[in-house]
Order: sequence, then C-alpha cells, then structure tokens
Amino acid sequence: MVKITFDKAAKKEFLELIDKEVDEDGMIVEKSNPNQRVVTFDGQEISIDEFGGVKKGSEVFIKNNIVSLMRLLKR
Amino acid sequence: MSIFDKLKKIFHFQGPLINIKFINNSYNNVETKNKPIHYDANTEETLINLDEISPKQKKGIKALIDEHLNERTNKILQKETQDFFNDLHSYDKKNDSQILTFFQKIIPPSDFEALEASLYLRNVFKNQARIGNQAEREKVKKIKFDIIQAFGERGRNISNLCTSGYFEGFLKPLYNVVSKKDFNDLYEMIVGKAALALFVHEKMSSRDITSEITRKLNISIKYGIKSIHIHGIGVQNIEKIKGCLRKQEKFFNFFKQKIHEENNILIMILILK
Repeated sequence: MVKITFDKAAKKEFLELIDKEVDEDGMIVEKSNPNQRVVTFDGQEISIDEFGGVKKGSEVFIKNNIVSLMRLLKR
Repeated sequence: MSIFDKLKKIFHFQGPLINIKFINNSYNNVETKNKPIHYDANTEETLINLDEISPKQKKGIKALIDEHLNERTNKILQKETQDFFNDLHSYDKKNDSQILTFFQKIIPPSDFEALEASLYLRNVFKNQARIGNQAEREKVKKIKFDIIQAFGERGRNISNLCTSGYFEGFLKPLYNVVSKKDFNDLYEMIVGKAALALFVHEKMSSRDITSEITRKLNISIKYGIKSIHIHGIGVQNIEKIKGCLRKQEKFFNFFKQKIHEENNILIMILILK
C-alpha cells in the first residue's frame, strides 16, 4: 500500500496542494472561501499547529493529538 | 496505471518509489535542495520538494492526492503523526482490557476516553523507563499534553491516577464495597477534585506542596478520608518532596508518614494523627 506523508515544516505547502490555507488566527480555511474554517471528523476547527493530516477526499482533517488519533482508529 | 507509475511519468523519475514524503527547502538533507524529487536510501522515502516542483508537476500531484484520498481508508499524515498512529495501532490493549471493560459502564464517557488514552500513556511510560532515550521521554510529554488539551484538569487527574495504578488498585476495589451513590461521590472527589493524591511537579515550591496537601485533605475529610498520597517521579521531584519534609517539619508532624521509594519514584502516604 502506498504510504504518503508530509514533513512538519512543509504543512503550509501541503495544505496549498489540497486548496487550503491558514488565516490570521492560525486556523485552516478553504482557499476559495477564507471565512470557512475546515473541521475535524468530530466537528472541531483545527489550527496549523494541531494539523496532523487528512483523509476522505481532503475533507476530513486530523489533529496531531493522541485522543484524535484514538478516535480515528476506532472509526 | 499505479500512483507510482503516474509519479514517475510526472517527474521523469527512474529511481525507487516507496514511501512518498512531501517536504520543502528547509528539509535537513542537502540532496533535496533545488531538486523536485529525490530518493533517500537511508529512510527509504521518496522525497518530493514542494518548493521545487513546476506548476505542471503540482497539477499532477494534486490529481494523485485526490485519487489517493478517494479511497476511504487512505489518509495523508504528517510523518510524526503517522509514526504515532502506527504505534497506537500496534499497542496491545490486552493487558489493559480488564480495567477498560470494568470502567466502561461506570464512569462518564469522556472520562473513559481519558482513561483509554492514559492507559496508552502508562504503556509508553513503562517503555520509556526501560529504554530511557530522549525520544521516548518526549513522547510521554506529548501524550500527557494531548490528554490535558482534550480533557483539561480532569484529564490531567485521570492520567496521573491511571499511571500510578489508582484505577485498578483503589477505584475498582472501592466500587465493589460501597453503594453506587457513594462511589460516584468519592469518584468525583478523587478524579474531579483530585483530593486523594498529590502529584508533585517541577514548578511546585514547598509552600505549594503543603497548601495543596491542606486543600485536598479539607475535601477528603468530608468523606471520612484522613490520608493523602504524595507522588514524585524523577530525581528532581523526589528531592523536592524530601526538601519540603525538611523545611516544613512542623506541618508534617501532624501526620504519620510512610515513604516508599524505588526506581526514581517516591510515594509518601500521610495519615492525619
């Protein structure tokens, strides 16, 4: 199976690839609509610092947090 | 055509394509500077430098990412998050399944989640004590931070109590001997108000320690509990507790003291005389 990851320092460049950017509060938003913040699979907004990855068509965001990852594992 | 074949075509790349990792020019590998793609034989990763790709290559990668993520189980994670996720995936819950099964229907769902995460923390902490390297120590800190971030002070209390064995050693036997109402009240006192135990950390002074002991005892006395456990992990915290005992002799004369110290962990039981 193909494994794709990104380096911590390249978060912004990766986000650009999936048409997202970071607003002035450090939160991840849609490039096409900067007022729309993206959410995690459990409905929370997510900052660039918390950003751990994406799944499902770049629409589901994952936090780099043990609790988030445990919830992801259960899904 | 597989994802790898498509990537090879986009980059005219003949090297191995195993694990793909997106980087930028700040990446610590001179071989990747000014190159859009490079295979790192040490890490067995194909590094794609997003600062060096052409607009056409960017378009090709975007399409590949979409294709990859369209598969329900696929994800793209930050490298450290991926490692963390793999570790979590391989964590054997067998040893902790009894305690999880016991508490699942007894404690609130968010406390249960905090307990699950804390049991994993305990597992990592034991490994860190065994292996003793900086990476493992950092991992322990990160997991603890994550638990507190997700669950606040309650999460901190649960992780402290869990790593010190209070769930199976105290709360579980307690549940079996008191009524449901009494258990819920005591549980709230121990977990919610953290009354039963004090976990000394590096930022605490002697005065902080004694005032926390007093505060916690004032809560637990209402429930008929006249004792408190003081925990210190690591040379610094142990020395802090011992220093406090010396400086605040008068205060500690009000208690019977039992001290157990082993493997850089100190547990002191104070019982009001």
